[in-house]
Amino acid sequence: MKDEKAFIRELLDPKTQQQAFGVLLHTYQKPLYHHIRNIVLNHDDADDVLQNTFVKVFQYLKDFKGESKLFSWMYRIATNEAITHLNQKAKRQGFTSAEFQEKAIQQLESDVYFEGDAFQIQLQKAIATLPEKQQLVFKMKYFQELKYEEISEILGTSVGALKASYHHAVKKIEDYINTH
Amino acid sequence: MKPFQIDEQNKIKSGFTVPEGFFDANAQNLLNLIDDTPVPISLWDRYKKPLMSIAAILVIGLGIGFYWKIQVQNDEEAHWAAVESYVAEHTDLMDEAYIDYLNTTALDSLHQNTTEAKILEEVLIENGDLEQYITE
Repeated sequence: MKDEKAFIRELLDPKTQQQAFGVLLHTYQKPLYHHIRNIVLNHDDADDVLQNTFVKVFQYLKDFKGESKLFSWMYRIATNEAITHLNQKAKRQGFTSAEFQEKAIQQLESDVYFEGDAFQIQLQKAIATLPEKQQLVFKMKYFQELKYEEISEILGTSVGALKASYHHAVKKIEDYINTH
Repeated sequence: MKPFQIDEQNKIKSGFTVPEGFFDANAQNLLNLIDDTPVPISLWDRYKKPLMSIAAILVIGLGIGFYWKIQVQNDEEAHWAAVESYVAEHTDLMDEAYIDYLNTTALDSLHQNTTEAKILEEVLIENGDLEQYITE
């Protein structure tokens, strides 16, 4: 993307806003959708969260101070929105977040927007056994192939801690798959 | 069977898919949505002007009060300074006034004393016996 500050000014200027927001959607819609989908697992939920994410980005863009990259700021909003959405939905249905996630994985088998096989479902089950932060790190590193530096900026964790977290996550997933 | 190791496998995909044309339709929906989305105004932004006006009035009021107090203090100091300065500059006037006082009161008194002495002398002349009684 061209000069980010100039792009943000275009996003804030009513004259250029529509076009700039079109560029923003074109650039970030897909990666953000997949990031959200990896967290919430279900397409409809991912669609809702994606919409909320872009509305919040639009509403709070004037407060964006440019201390981090626009990309990582948007990922942070998407991550928070996805986790909040999951927790609220679980609470409404009377489940804990872990139980709700387990239920969501069981539903993958009948999900028309899931083309994975039994092994991919097994992998999702293994990921669900990890603590929340390790799940996020694993999904961002393994499925989205983000760099540690990018994940570090999004999650506000040091690169060293992220490497350790990913290493632990991989070990636990391998153990789970080897024993189930 | 060889134990599963994630890095030795071909990349395992998440398996998630989206409806056909989802991203195009979604982009259009989002563009329409943001057109109708009001940008929230923070409390500070909302009340910035009246708050700044109140603050300005307070600052001006306090400034005037402070200036007034300083001014009154300065006036009093100037008044006493003027008196002191007047007194210092007009010491001759005080001396003159004192001399006048002496001229009028002390000389009158002296004159009165002289008159009294003359009367006494006349009385003594007229009554020669009295002088004798006094000396005795």
